[in-house]
Amino acid sequence: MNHLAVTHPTVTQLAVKQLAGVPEWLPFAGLNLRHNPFGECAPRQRAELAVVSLDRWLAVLEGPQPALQFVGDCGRGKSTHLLAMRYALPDAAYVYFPEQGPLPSVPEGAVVLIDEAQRMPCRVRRTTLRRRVPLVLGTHVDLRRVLRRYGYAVHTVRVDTLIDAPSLTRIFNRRLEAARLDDRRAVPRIATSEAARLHGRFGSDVRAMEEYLYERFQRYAGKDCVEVSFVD
Amino acid sequence: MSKCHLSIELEDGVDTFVAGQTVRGQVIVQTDANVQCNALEVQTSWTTHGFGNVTGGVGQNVNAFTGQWLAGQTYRYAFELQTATWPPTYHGYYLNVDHAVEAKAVIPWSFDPKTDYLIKVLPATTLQAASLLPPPDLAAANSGAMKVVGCVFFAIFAIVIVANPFAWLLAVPIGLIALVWWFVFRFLPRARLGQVAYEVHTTELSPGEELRAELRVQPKRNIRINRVVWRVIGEEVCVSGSGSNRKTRRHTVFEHETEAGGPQVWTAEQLQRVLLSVRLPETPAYTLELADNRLEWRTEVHVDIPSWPDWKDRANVRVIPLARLGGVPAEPLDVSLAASADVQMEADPQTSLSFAETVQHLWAVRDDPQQTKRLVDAVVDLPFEVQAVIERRLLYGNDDPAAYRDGYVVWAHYPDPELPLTLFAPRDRGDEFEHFDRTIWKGRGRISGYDRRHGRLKIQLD
Repeated sequence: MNHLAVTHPTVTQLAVKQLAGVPEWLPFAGLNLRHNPFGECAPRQRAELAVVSLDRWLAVLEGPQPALQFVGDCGRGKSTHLLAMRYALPDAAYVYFPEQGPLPSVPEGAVVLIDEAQRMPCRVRRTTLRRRVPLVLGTHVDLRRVLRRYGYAVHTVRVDTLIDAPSLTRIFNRRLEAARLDDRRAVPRIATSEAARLHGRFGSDVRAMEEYLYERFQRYAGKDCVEVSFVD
Repeated sequence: MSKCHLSIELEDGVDTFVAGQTVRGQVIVQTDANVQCNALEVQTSWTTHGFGNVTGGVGQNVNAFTGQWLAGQTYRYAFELQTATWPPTYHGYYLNVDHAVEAKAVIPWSFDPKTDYLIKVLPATTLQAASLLPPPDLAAANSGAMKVVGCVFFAIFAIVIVANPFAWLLAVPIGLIALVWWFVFRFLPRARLGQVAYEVHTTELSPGEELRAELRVQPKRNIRINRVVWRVIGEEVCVSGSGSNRKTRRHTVFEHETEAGGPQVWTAEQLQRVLLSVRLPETPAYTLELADNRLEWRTEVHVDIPSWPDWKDRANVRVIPLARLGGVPAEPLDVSLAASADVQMEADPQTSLSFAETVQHLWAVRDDPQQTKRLVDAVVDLPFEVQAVIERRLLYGNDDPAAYRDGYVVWAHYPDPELPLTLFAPRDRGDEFEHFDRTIWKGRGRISGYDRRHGRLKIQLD
C-alpha cells in the first residue's frame, strides 16, 4: 500500500472506520493519520507545509536593494516564512542567530535570510548591511531605521496581521493532510468556525494553538471511529 | 507535473519486523515521460514525532537504479534492507518513534519524487538484547566523560574568577548560596542519619521484571523517622524549540510510590536495611535517549526526618528489551530469576529464536568481536534445528573441547547468509558427511562457541 500523502478533496469532520490495508498498530490509524498532525516538524517539512504567499514576498525582493522584514512575537510564523523562502530560493543563504552559544557568521548568498535578526551584534549587523544584498529578516524588533540608514528599501510585514480564521484553517488542514495515511480515504478537517474560535482564544499565537491541538488530538489515540472536535 | 510515480510493496505484505531484520520488497516506478534518474535511493529509517524536536536515523540504504526511464513504463526494483537496530517503534504521548522504508528518485532539475511505507519494528528479543544494544557500561562511560568535561569547565571558570577581581563580586554570593544549600540539604540530613547509602540492585531490567533497591542506614544515635518514601518513575521528556523558545514537556508513563516504613525509631549503631522492590509494568516503554526526545526511568528515595531537613537520593535505571542476558546487576541476581529466564527460553516458542534468526544476527555483527562474543554467549547450549550446506569433513581438528571423542569435524556454511559453521558430529553420524552434494543438510545441535580465528560458529550436533 502506498502511504504517500497527496492532496484530497475537502471533507467535513468525519468518522473513518478502520480499513483493510491500514496499519492498525498506528495510534491514529482510525482517523487515517500516520501520527498526531500537530507535533513538531523538521525544518524542511515545516517549509513544505507553510501557508505563505511566496509570490507576494518574492516580488518584493525584485526591487532595488530590498529588505523584507517579518516582525512579530514568538509563535506567529516568522521562522516559517523564512524557511519557506529559503527552500524557494536555491541561491539564498540562511542563518539563525541563537540566544546563547557562539555567534554564527553571516554567509554569502544572492539573498540573505536572517532569523532572529534582532540578536545580531552591531558589528556583524554593520558588516552585513554594507554588503547591500537583498535581505529577508525575521525579527522581534522593527529594524526599519537601521536598514534605511544603509540604503535599503524596507518592506515590513507584521506577521500577526496575516493570521485570521481562514488562514488558520488552511494551516491546520495542511498539517492534517500531511499526516494522511491512505490517499484513498479522507482525513479529519478543521472548519473555519473552529479556527475562528481558536483565533479568539489564542489570538495570533499559532504555536500555542498547535500545542493545544496536539494535546486535544492525543485523546483520539487508539480510537477507531470518532468524530473529531478540535476545540471546546 | 510529476514525470514518475513511486510506490513500495513489501514481500508478502508483512509490515512488522524485529530490529535488525531484513525487509524485502520492491519499489515500483511508473513513468509518464522519459526520465533521467541519477539515483533511486531506497532506505530503512526511523524518525521521532510528537512534541520534541524531530530526530531520526537510517538503518541501511542502497541505490537501486541509475539511468534512463522511458515514458509509459512500469519498472520494479527489488530491495533487501535491514531495519535500524535501535530504537524500536514506540507510541507514547509526547514521544513517538516510527520506522519506514523510504524511496526517492533523484531527478536532475526537477522535483524528486518520493514515497515511504511505514513498518513496525519490534524491540530486540532475547538474542538481540545481547548483541544490538549499547554495552551496559556505555552510560557509565558517558557519565565519566561528562564528569571530565565538567571538571575542565569548572577549572576554566575558576581561573577566570581568580584572574578577574570583579568576578568575585558575583562569585561570592553565588558561592554562599551554594554552600548554604549544601549545608542544609546535604550535610544536615547526613549528619543526622550517619552512614547512609541508597543502591539499586538491578540497574538494567526489562518490562515486567522486578526492580529492587535497598536503603542502608547506620545512625550514630537514636533517631525518629516519620516515613521512608520510595518512588519509581518512567517519564517521557521532550524538548521543542531552542534558545528562548525552548520548551520541555513531561509525561509520566509509570509512577509507583510506596511508603517503605511509617513512624519509627532507628536505634544507634544498628544497621537498618530497607528493602524496596516493585514489578515494572509489561508496557514496552524502554529507556530512550534520542537527542531532544527521551524516555527516562529513575528511582527516588526520601527519608522524612521530623523537624529536620529530609534526606533524599535518586538513581537512574535503564529499561531494555531483555536484560536477563545483557544486563549486569550490581549484586548477583538470585538463581531462581536466572533459571526462570532459561526455562522461558526453552519452553516458550514465542521468546525462543530460530537458528535462521541467530545466524542472521551473527552475520550482522560478524565484524565486531565484542558483539559477536556477547551474542554467542547468549545462545551457547541452546538447542536449534540446524540447516547447513556441507563443505567438507576434516581429517584433523577434533581436539576442540566441543568435539566428540573419535567424532568428526565438518566445515559447512549456512545457506543464506553464508555464515561459516563448524559442526562437531558424533562418530555414528560420520556417514552423513562423507558424501555431500551441496544440498541443505538438516539436523539438531547446540551452539558451543565461536571460532574467531576462522570466523566460524561452532555447533555440537546431538
